[in-house]
Amino acid sequence: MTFPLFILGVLTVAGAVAAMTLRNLIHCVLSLAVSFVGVAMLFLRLGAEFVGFAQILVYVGAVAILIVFAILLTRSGGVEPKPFLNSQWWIGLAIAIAVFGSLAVAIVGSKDLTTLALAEKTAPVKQIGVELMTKYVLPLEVIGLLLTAAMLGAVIIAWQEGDRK
Amino acid sequence: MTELQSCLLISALLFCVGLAGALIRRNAILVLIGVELMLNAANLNFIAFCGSTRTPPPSTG
Repeated sequence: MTFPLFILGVLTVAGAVAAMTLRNLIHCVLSLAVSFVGVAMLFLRLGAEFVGFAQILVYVGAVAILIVFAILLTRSGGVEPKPFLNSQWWIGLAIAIAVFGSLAVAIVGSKDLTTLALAEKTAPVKQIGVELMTKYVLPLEVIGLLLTAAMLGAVIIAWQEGDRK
Repeated sequence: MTELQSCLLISALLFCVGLAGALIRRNAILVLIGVELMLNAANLNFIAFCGSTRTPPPSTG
């Protein structure tokens, strides 16, 4: 493991662990943003410029801020009440550790992975744009339609809940 | 351990932190945050594999 990759991995995982263990919800979301920044820098390190900047714009700029707004608007911020874990938290922890153990054994022990190497340079932004607008234009439009339908559905569900009260 | 493998290890660690958080926290917003972490780990795997070439470069690092 090279040194920059190590630093980025420590930053990302430390942000994730802080987001999952802190008591205050706002602090959790801010450490989630730190973890997102770490992931974005990992993307840039791996040569994916477009995805890295889209990660910063979409996740750090929109998703984290959206969660902060959701917390503040529903007034559920502040420190959580005392039992902030499930009653069966040890089962969940054991499952997560088992999943990581099997994944790590598979990754470290795989012979095929050692023959692969990271590419120095992946697709530039211009090529991604050209491909999206020519070869993959149909999936792009289908995804846009799907997102519009999901947004309309969310608005309709929210309206009905408001009417019932 | 090659650089691709360390990327995959970071991604697996991120996924499992998110999985643990989604499984053991009580607050619904924190469960959502755990799911977001898992999605990011999956994206990291995609990016790590997307440019992988068969022939290793002459000198890594």
